[in-house]
Amino acid sequence: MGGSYIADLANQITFLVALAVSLNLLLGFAGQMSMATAAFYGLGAYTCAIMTAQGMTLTGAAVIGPGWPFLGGLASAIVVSFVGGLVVAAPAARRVRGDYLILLTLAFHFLVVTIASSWVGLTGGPNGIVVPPIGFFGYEINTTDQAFWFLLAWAAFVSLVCWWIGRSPFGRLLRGIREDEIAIQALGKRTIAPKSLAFAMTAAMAGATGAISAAYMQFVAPTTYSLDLAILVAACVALGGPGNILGSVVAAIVIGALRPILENVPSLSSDSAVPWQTVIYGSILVAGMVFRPRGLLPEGLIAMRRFPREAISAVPRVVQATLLKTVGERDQPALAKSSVPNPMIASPIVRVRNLSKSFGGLQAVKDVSFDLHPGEIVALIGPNGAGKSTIFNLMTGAIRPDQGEVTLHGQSLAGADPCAVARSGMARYFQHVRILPGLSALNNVAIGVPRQAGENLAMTFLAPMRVARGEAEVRAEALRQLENVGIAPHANRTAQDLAFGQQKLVAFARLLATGAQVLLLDEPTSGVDPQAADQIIALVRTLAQSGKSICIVEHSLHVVSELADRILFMNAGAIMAEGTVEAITTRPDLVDLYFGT
Amino acid sequence: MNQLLQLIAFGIVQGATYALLAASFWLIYATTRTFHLAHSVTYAVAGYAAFVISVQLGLSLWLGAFASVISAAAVGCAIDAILYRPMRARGASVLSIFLASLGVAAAGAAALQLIFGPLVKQVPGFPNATLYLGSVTVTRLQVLTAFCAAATIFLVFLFITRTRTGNAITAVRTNPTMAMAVGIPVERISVLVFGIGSAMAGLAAFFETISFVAYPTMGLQPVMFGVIGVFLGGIGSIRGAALGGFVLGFLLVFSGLFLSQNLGVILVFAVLLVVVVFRPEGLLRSPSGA
Repeated sequence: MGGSYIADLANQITFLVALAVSLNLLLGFAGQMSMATAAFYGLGAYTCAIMTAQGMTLTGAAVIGPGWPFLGGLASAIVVSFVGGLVVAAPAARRVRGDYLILLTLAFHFLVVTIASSWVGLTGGPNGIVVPPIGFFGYEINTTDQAFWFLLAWAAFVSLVCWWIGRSPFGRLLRGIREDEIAIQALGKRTIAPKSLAFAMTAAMAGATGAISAAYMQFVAPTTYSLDLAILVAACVALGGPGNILGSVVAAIVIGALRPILENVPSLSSDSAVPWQTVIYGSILVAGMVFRPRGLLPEGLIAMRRFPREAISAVPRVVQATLLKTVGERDQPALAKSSVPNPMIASPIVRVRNLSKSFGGLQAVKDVSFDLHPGEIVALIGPNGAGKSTIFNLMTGAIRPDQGEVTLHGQSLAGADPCAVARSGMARYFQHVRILPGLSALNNVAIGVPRQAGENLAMTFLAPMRVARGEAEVRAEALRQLENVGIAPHANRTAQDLAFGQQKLVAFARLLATGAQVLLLDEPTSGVDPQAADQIIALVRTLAQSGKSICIVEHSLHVVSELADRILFMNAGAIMAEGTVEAITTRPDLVDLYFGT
Repeated sequence: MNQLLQLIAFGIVQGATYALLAASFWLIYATTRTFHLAHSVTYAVAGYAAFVISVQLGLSLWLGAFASVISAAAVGCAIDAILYRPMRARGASVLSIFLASLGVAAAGAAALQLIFGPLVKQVPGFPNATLYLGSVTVTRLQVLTAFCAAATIFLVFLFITRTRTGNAITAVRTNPTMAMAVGIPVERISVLVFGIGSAMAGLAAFFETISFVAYPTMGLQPVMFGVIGVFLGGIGSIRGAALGGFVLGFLLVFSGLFLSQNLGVILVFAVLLVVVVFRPEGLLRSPSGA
């Protein structure tokens, strides 16, 4: 191909930029470590080459492809690599994570490279395939200078798409999955589809970039798609900052410019430029991981400024009146705010019937039955190991009961997973909080809001205005919930930088944002200072007054006596007694059991 | 029948090498939870060490073997002490440790290329001979390779299961926090397993170098096969890892009977995929013990 050397260098860098931003979507946002970048890049390149090749192969045989024009080759490359991404994601999104994912994507890489170099009839083997140049409707790109504007536009397009996805509610969902998948499922969000989609989108963008590069270089051969390339792209993402698209662009340009600069160092032969580049970016990668693990431009650097700090700090701390009002109005319009419903009259929302569960020889839960009514606070108490948390696990579908069932609004929850249970209106507050440490407090809460249009990737592109409106509502709702728990001034702080008590309040706000009717609270006040505990107690009481059913596992008898309408006293997996606070605390046998005297 | 015996012999030879690599990766991975892809650099350094000692300095092959093992152990310990340990101390994520390992793998191979050039290096001089055992034909080098690999795995197995230090390694592997709480020097154990695991890879690299050649990226495929062996056989025990290596060797050799060599590689990935998805604990289930 003719044209200037400088343009060719710039063009090579645009490919690296496109690969880096697309990998960032998967590695940075969704937290899925994929080593298959070069494989998808190659898959797209080979698909395009096979579909567009014309005339004779290098070995003199007739080509087997249909000889489509470039756009046809590009489209087929996108389809094939998108499907390839879904195929790799099928085991990856369901069961395989962490180290297994690295192994699986590495294996996929070697599989693609092996096929490319050994299936001579299809791929030309080590000799490769000659590819016709990039062309649109009769206009052909034949010089590097002509190609530059097209390739620049492509890299910019891919970067914009990734940036757009990253800042959308779908991107927030991916980041949530990266931080704590179980917590996300417990909020009633499906995680397999978003992860698979992230895989497939990344694969499709890498494949399309591969198709364009194949037509640009007018040649494909297996050596181009080496593991070194996959490492190079991963290095760009890691160094630029996982979760920050701009960071990937900058890092790809800087690292991509290394080689041409080194090639022009007079004392280096052109042969040693490539290994020098590898030594340099490898060393930068190592140094970056040791000294700046969150990258040059860490995630959230720009998002921080989106909400002006002053606007938020103007929100008053906790105003009980507004708290009652907002919670009451939003969640339970049908119930009069002033009337506390009588639990004995209203029919139960949740029925737990004859639940039993054994772990090996240990019977953790034995034939437990109870009801939860609207507006009622029921406390599960008992010594450690009594089976309280196991009951929550059974109720939310985290584990399956051996016997018995749970019904919510009269519908059986048998076989439902935590996500389905949360969707039908029963949400859980984890003892270990399960906050999403890398997200801001506001985003932690926003992710709890159900039925967000923007969590559908197609909507993000097809109905951007609707998604933007929905997102504004979601943020307003999240901020309102943060006000309810009194930590709105910290809305923009990263959750991991908050004190433990504040994290618990954020998790509480997130639980409220789900709008769930039944709340299962696992030790909501453990480990927080008395002031925060009082705040939580007041909050729980207000929630019950607004008509929610609350089941609380708690060790603090102070909290229980402040809140509980009814106590279920458990020991050794069974309910020993049921009654009011007075009834339970005045029974000497139970007090002995509880305090172990 | 003769062909079958011949294939079994090749399977044992090939399998023993992969088992050694799998066991070496397993020891490091299972104990420290480091996905140590930079193991490939250790392997390549060991290959070049044999070249430097036995060819450039003209010393004996025995010294070359010694140099391979020692240099590999030194490189492995250095990577752990200089790189991984500070990262672990700072609470780095598994992902950033893996990325740092990738950086070492890429930079190390490129540095070897800058030092020794892109051309392959031969280390000749092993008095090789073809042995005829009944109807089976093997070379003396193949027999020695398989024997050394099997003996090394057995010794490491004994070390882990029979000695106090071995128990400490098992303790760190199964529960690092508890191990630290009962006074086991976890960081020292970590350097130790990096040393032993790397020395095992160094031995394998020595045999590859004298059988074939040394080149900068020579470590990538063997380490990849070692990793596959670990996940194939089971990450719970060294027996699982070694078994995985043997299965891998036999798969490759026997598929060669029906398929081209590259299709054998594809078959291996297919088997791996099935095992990882449907039996993630590996072929040999053993949650505890060595």
